[in-house]
Amino acid sequence: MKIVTDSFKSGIIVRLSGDIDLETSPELRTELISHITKKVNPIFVDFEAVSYVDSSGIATLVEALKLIKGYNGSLKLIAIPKSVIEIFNFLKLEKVFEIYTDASSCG
Amino acid sequence: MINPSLKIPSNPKYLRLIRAVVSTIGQMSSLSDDSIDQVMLAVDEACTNIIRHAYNNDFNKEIILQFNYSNDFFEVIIEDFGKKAEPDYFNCQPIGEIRTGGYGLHLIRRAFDVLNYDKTMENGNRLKLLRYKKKDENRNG
Repeated sequence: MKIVTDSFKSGIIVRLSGDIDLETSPELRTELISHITKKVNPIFVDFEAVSYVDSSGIATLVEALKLIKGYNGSLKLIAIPKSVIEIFNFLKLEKVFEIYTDASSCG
Repeated sequence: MINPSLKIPSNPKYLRLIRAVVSTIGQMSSLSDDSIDQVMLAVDEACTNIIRHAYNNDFNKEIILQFNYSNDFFEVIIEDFGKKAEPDYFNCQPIGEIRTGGYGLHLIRRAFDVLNYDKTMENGNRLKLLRYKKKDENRNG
């Protein structure tokens, strides 16, 4: 997995590529927490180049969401591939997160 | 017939290898693409549980996977030599709750029709995961 973070709108965008699993999700957690501790808002996470997410990746996002909500911030997930959004749907998390098809469609 | 098997270290960096092997054997057994995605994720989740719980994140232990398949089923047997699974291992937490764990077992149950935990293992754990092939799956395997 690779992570590239840039300024985006009034917050940041975290662009991910590759697989998010038990090996790589700690790196994603560290990245997100580093921005959450600074109360960055909003945080966009771009999944366009992500090929795989397991439950450790899902748990990392849920933890980030809980922490961001703690300061009334928002976590917006962008361009989640079909194979991954299907996992969100199965776990009934699709309405828990703000999910957008692309970066231009999210506020 | 010798069934395919895989022995790997309990290191998360080998999960990619496990997924590649499951995907390849899934194709050889003529599972559909959707089924392959589900079983690949489920086996990944089972191995993740072994690394985290049976081996308590010790990355230098063994995980052994055996694969059996026919026109009717796809089976994966996963063995470790770590701490015995807790009696409530198979108790899923309710789906749809916002929490930072407990999703893996739901994903394993989604992919496999039968989960059998072999309690006769003297040391470690043996988990048998069995999926019956769906009627619309290709049966050329």
